[in-house]
Amino acid sequence: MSNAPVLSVTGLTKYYRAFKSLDDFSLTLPSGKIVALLGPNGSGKTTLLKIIAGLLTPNAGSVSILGCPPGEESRGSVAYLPDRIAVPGWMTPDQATSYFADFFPDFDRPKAEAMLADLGIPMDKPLGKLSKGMREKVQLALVMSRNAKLYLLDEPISGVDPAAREYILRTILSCHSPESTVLISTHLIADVEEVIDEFVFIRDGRLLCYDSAEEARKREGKSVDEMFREAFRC
Amino acid sequence: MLKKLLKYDFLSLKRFLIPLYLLTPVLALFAGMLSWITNRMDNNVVTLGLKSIYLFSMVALILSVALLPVLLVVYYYRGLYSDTGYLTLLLPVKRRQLILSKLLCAFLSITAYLIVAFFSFGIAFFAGTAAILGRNPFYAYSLFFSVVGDFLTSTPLHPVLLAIEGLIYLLAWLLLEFSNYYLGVTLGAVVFQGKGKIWGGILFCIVTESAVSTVLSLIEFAFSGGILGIGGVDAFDSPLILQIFLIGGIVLRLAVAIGVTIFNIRMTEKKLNLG
Repeated sequence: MSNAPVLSVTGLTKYYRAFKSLDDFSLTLPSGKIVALLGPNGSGKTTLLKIIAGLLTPNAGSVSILGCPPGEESRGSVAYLPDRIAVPGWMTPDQATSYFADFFPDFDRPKAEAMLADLGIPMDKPLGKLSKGMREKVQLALVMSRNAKLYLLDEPISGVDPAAREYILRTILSCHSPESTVLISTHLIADVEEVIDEFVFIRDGRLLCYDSAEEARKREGKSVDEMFREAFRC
Repeated sequence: MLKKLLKYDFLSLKRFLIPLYLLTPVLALFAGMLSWITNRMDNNVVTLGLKSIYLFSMVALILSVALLPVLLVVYYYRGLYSDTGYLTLLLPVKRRQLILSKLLCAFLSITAYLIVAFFSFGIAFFAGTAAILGRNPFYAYSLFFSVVGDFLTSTPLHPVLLAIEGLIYLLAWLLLEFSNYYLGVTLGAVVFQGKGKIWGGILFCIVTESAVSTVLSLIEFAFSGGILGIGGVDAFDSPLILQIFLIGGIVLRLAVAIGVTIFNIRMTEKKLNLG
């Protein structure tokens, strides 16, 4: 397993007008890990993922993905699942699959079609006519069918039913390889507890803790979920 | 990649373009027929009713023509700065290709639409005159083309040359208009966050368009003043002066459109905020 960093962020600061969403945030992730990004609402998780994906410009700091800043090259190796439905409603799952296959050289079309079939998605119905849960599943299937080096998943399991949640977590595990890292932001810590290698606690835009899940569990004698509840108790 | 982007842009716009390409000629035919029938009737009450419907259909026709530019600007906003932006802005393509694809798509759609609108106006505006002359409704096109012909022969330039240069001038103007609107949308998204992006986009569309148009008008006004000062009013009877005006206008608009688009690309690359 290679330990060369797949992602390195240094001194990231982002303001939304007067509100500081990220405050001098730094983090380096090696390849081959599933990392949970955990924090309460408004702690800066989504902002961090958007900056890494290149959708937001930080006020200060830098991002390096496999040695490159966010741009055309990094977009080819980063698969980002946003916290909203980005695939336009006029597209059918079949057209959306063709769209991904046309633009992303690392997209595995047979894998996407198999996942969509497993999830019971009709291929010829426009996404706008599918339920919100189904649209989320389509989007997740498309993103996870890429053989990316870095997956950025923003709340991938929050809107789906428990049965699909299990399937999605299995999919994340199956996509995971020694060459790829998954950074997953979620509130449902108990659901991801068993699949994560490492976790990051973020509060008020600052890094609170970055640790190995297994080592922390052994050291503290608690689950990551319990550690989270303790750290962020209201 | 540009070819693929264009393919999906047209695939997406197809939903609006085809109905609009059909709506305008249908409205024009309806208005033209009403005008033709009204001008052949003697009953005042019925004529008044038909004239009212004709008026409404003409307003609808003009609105249908104004609808496409609005749709294209909304499409640009939605494609890059609403939820769909979370897909398009993450494609492994250069940001300039994304913007160029949308600009080209708008330009080609509106150029095709101009042809549809040109033939639609023929029947909508001249069918009434055809009725007065005792001819069938489609005689409107003979009248329409003779008016266009009269206009083309009204200047010292060769009519064919004037038609070609006039068309290129119109296309350069359209390209500049869309470059201005698209820069306005980008500035709105860079400066404002959340829902404010929509209003910011509208505000900056107006500001960008007004600023660029004012500067271009001042340049052309200063140039006209110079010509009048040197050669007097008669100078405008010269084909050379008219050529300079037309070609200068085309070059100026194309140059400004390129400059505005480059600025738009830079802003999208360096200052993007998809909050």
